[in-house]
Amino acid sequence: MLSLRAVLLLPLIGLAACGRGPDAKPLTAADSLGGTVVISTPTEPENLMPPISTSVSGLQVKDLVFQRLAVIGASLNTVGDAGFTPGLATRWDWATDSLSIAFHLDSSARWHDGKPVRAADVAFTLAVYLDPKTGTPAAAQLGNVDSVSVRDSLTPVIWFRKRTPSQFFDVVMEVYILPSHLLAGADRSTLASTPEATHPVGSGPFRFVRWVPGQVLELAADTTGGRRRALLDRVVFSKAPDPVIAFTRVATGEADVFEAVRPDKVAEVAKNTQLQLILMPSLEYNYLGFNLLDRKGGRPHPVFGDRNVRRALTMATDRRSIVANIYDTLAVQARGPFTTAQASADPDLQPMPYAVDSANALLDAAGWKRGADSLRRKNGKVLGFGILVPSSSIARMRASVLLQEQFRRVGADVRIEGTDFGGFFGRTAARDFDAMLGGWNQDAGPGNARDSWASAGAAKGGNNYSSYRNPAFDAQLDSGLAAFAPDRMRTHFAAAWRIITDDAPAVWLAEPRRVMAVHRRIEMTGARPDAWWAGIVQWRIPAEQRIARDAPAGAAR
Amino acid sequence: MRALIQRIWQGVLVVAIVATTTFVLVRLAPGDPFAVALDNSRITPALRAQWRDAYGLDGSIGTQYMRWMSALLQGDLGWSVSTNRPVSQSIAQALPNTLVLMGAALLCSFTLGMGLGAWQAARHNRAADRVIGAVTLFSAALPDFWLALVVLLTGAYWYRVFPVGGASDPLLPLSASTLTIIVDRLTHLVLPVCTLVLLIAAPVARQQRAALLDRLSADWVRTATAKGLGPWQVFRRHAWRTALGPVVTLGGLALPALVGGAVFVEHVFAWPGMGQLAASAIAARDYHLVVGCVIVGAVMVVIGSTLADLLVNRLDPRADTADADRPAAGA
Repeated sequence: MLSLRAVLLLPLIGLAACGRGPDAKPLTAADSLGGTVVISTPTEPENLMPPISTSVSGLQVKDLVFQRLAVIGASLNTVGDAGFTPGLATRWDWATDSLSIAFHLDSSARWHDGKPVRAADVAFTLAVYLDPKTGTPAAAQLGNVDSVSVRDSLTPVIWFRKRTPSQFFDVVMEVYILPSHLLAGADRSTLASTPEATHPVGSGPFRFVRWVPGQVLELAADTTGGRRRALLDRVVFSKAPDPVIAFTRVATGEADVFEAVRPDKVAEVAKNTQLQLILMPSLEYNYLGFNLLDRKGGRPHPVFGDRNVRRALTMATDRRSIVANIYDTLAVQARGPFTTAQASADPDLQPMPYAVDSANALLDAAGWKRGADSLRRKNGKVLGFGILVPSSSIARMRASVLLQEQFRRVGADVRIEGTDFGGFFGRTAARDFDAMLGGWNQDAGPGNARDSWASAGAAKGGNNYSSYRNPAFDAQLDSGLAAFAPDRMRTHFAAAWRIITDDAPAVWLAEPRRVMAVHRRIEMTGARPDAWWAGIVQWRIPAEQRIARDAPAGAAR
Repeated sequence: MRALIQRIWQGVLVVAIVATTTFVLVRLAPGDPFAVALDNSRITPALRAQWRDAYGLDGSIGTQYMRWMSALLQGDLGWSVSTNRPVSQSIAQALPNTLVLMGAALLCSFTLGMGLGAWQAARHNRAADRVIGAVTLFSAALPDFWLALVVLLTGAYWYRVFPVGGASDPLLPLSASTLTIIVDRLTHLVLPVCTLVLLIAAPVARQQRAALLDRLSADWVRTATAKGLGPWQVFRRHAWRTALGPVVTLGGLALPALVGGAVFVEHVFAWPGMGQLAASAIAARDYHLVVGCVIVGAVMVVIGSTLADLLVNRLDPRADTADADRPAAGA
């Protein structure tokens, strides 16, 4: 069998391999335009209404069918507008006090039904997003938007309540501009049941063609708008509910892209002459979260309520071996509640070391004494707890077994509580667990940690499942979020990460990289850590490499 | 007729009990339709509460049940949160796919199973009987998920003869001819149908063989032979006809699979049918859709068992007579 490390040294890996070299011949229109990309996916969007579609599958379609005013750059900077590139707006002007931004819309922009995109659409869209009846998750990020005025038909002006570092990021990345002429009469509390939620009309580079739920969702390049059209003719999302089957479709050549290749399939992709392996950073991290409160939620947890016990278990965790065993080289050790691709990351943060002796000493000091059966006890109670884990996640199940063994070495009796994803999410939300193997898939914004680790989210039902509270951490996080200077922001975030990793409400385990299998004929460019599909408008299939499904056969059934 | 009406009332009661039990049980399981969106840290508790309210999933189970029952009595199965459409629409979309898959599979399985069983019975205790008996026993013992994967690997991965999954080629152009469409559908049907035939035909063959052997040694069959009827006539008129009872009962029990689908087979072959719909509804805690799928399945169980009973009575008059001869309660 081809070793994973050997595979990763192959030159075919990495985005650099996918672009055109400097010696490439100039492209003609016929060379560039055309082709079909079939994306094999185990999931599909819940709906296609931008304010209320929350899944990653929905995001992929929204990004292709709709437009934002501007788009974040590859550096994922969220302070001010540095690095942002034009979207629906070709340029923008800040007011001198930064309390308003005038966006100048692309005058040639058209909705896919032919109507022009106007400033009134932007005003309408913000009204929809800000209406509490809509119930959009973006509302929290848009709380700083005061109003929208229309300077002229192509210039909406967005007014803010106060100047913040991420005001530009918040408003351009959270909001997809909607067609007011189609949605003006819709009841905002039931947007999911409007026809546009399943047959969207956008102004993006691809127009919606059809969606057969559970089977296929097809988009075609929009050639009517004034903007530069996408190079591909079609993008087809083909659903197979089982990830293994979804991958097999790519391996057999039935589909072109699979976005989450498992480590045990990497060698197979490398051997397949039709496929290229794409490796890129992601914004996901996995962790073992401790519940700091007992299952009834009122009192400190009998084991994890003690900071020293949490620190001991953290030191008893050999993260290096866990990451190597599960991901080989396809993940790096997580350092804290962030990923290295984020602007708020602290690459110098040193996590607690793997030190079993120190862990044992801490547990002894905390009163947990070893018995004859090598298990620790305190006041007659065994140092025992359950790890809640979604059993359909192979990586997390493996991690739970490795953790069980590592904790056994320091005298802890660990039960693995496997459940389906529905049960996992339900019990996590209800705080009905001792410890759990969770994961956060974040966006580029630095505010994610606030949602998932700050005191504000600690109440039952909030996203801080560990119920971790530390005012010093909250203060540093808030200061980081309020800082305009990047250095100052990073300083505050670094301080926050130090506090939380010292308190050890979780053991941050791995930061998996995104591993994709992509058909070799596709030149894939423009991917970002938060969105591999971001550059799909520039993806190209050279004319000489096209296969039968690339032929412009007209609309599919 | 009176018995039929009684069966219908019993059926309605069974469906109502099954639906109510499912309604309660699915809500008692951990999680809810909006808890599944937990991996998005932007979704706040307040927002989840707002969504629950909008979709009628707030309040106690009793309140939700009354709301749901009142809608059901007006023919409304509710709104599916995971598919974002009415439950009836989701079922209407999946049902034809399952009917095609399971219809083809049951037809092939019963034809093959009955034929094999009869052939074995005619060669009782010979080498062919023993070999087929061993093969059907092995086939009946195979786990469906494993078998589906083996069939998939063989037919679509190692030998790339058939597509990996789905009900049709997603890229089939609108201009495709009817013949092309039929061929496309058939090629997508081959692997899942083969899997189901391997799984279903074996028990059918074993039932058919056992029933035939039982009938062939019966007194009336000996009498018919003594009267001078030829072996084929004895077999067809007196043995096979009465031996169809157990197979028909098996068929009646298999009828719900026509709508319930074979969850694992549909999952492996990405077949967009009722089995897959129900499985994904359970995973997503899509309460209304789960109950909708269960209602459709329960209705089919009732119809299937009623039809099977009627058919058995028609094929083997002894069954009807036995019922008629039974003394009435209290007599």
